[in-house]
Amino acid sequence: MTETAQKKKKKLSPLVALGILLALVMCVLGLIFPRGRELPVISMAAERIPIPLPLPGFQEGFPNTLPTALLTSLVLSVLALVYNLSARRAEKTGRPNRFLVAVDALFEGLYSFVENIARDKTRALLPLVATFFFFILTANWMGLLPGVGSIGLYEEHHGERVLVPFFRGANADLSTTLALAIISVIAVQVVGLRFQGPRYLRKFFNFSAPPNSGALGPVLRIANGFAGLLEIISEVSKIFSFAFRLFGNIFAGEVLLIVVSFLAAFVATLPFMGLELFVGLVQALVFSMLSLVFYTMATHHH
Amino acid sequence: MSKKPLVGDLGDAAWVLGVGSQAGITLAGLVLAGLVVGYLIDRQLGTLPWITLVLTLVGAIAGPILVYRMVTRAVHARIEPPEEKQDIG
Amino acid sequence: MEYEAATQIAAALAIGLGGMMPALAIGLMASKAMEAIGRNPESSGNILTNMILAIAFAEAIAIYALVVALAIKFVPVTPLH
Repeated sequence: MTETAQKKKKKLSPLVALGILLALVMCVLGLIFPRGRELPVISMAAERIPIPLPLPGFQEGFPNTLPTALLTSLVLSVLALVYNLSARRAEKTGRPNRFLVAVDALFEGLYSFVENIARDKTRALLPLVATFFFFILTANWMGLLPGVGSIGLYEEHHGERVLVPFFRGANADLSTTLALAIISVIAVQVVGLRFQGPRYLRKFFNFSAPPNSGALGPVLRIANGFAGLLEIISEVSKIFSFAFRLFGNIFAGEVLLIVVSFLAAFVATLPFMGLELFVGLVQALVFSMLSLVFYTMATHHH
Repeated sequence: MSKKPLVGDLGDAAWVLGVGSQAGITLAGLVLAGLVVGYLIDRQLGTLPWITLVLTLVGAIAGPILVYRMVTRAVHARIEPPEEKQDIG
Repeated sequence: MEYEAATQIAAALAIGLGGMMPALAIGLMASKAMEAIGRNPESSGNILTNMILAIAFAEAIAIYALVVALAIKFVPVTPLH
């Protein structure tokens, strides 16, 4: 009897107990409702919620990625406001609270990240890169919240009953990713012009040849001019690649989650949710990192 | 101060992933863009399939050139600048 | 086989089979590059450039497969009369 008395009884924290209870409930539900009732209808373009607004692009209704994107901006603004108030209170009392410390640690990580690539121009480039990172990260993760993609209206499209969700992940729409890509590529040109002045345009229109090339002069001039034209094409292909990489990853993740929830309702979606969290983080990282690489390449000339 | 290896941590993994995927998409996208633009022009002018073929080839040649320039420039922008080179002890 | 069924199966096979070999190629190249960097850390800049170039070529093949799959799925083909 002394052994049982000496065995320390570990107390389960209430949060862990709640988590285990929820997992058991999910398993039971997943066994009761093993398959979905209706076939999922997946559309690549954002579905329209039928509120016709008299604005030029919105006659057929409101695209359902727009409220999610606005909600993302709202969440980020609220977080920034909370940080500001906590910082002011910490200045007065001298004791920072945990939210402040966490955001500071995150920001320091981001700063060292950016400093790794843009060594002395970090302070100029960090705000832009960090904004891209936080917006894309929050937008990707908000597409995984319960209710996004599942709560909506039933409508008749081409004779079949289709669910039009009220919210859909903001980056699952080519419009959002194209807008972000265009902003990023225009920002590359702006950064280049700001740090190098008008000399930056020599990258595109370069019809010069080394002075002592003799008879090969005109050929080299044409070759350099062609290379300048290729640079313009390269900028356009950057827009294309930024937009499609982000859209493809997030949309494919959404399709994956819809199909897996259709096949095996509650339990089997857990590893895919984890995958989606990871993919959202990696895509935000890759977008901002690649933008940073292009900004850095634009600041010092060849 | 020890010389930092060029590829080491999460930041570098994201950098390699980003530049690599950018290069891959550029390579394939330029060939496809040449094909699509050539096809559209041919449909307007009615001279199928010659301009399509020519522009596809132009895209297929311009792709690797562009990718090579972009990758070499990105890696040069990443390597430690020569002033900080130290003696290899 | 019906046209719709053939379309779906063809699109799935195009991207599925077309993505296997590029993935294998990228894995092999990256592992060899890691080995080479481990053996000779000073030339990592050179190795990195060439590794990224080679990975770009392999990934382009995967993107061709993706474009073919999308074209099969979304471009309707009417039978010749």
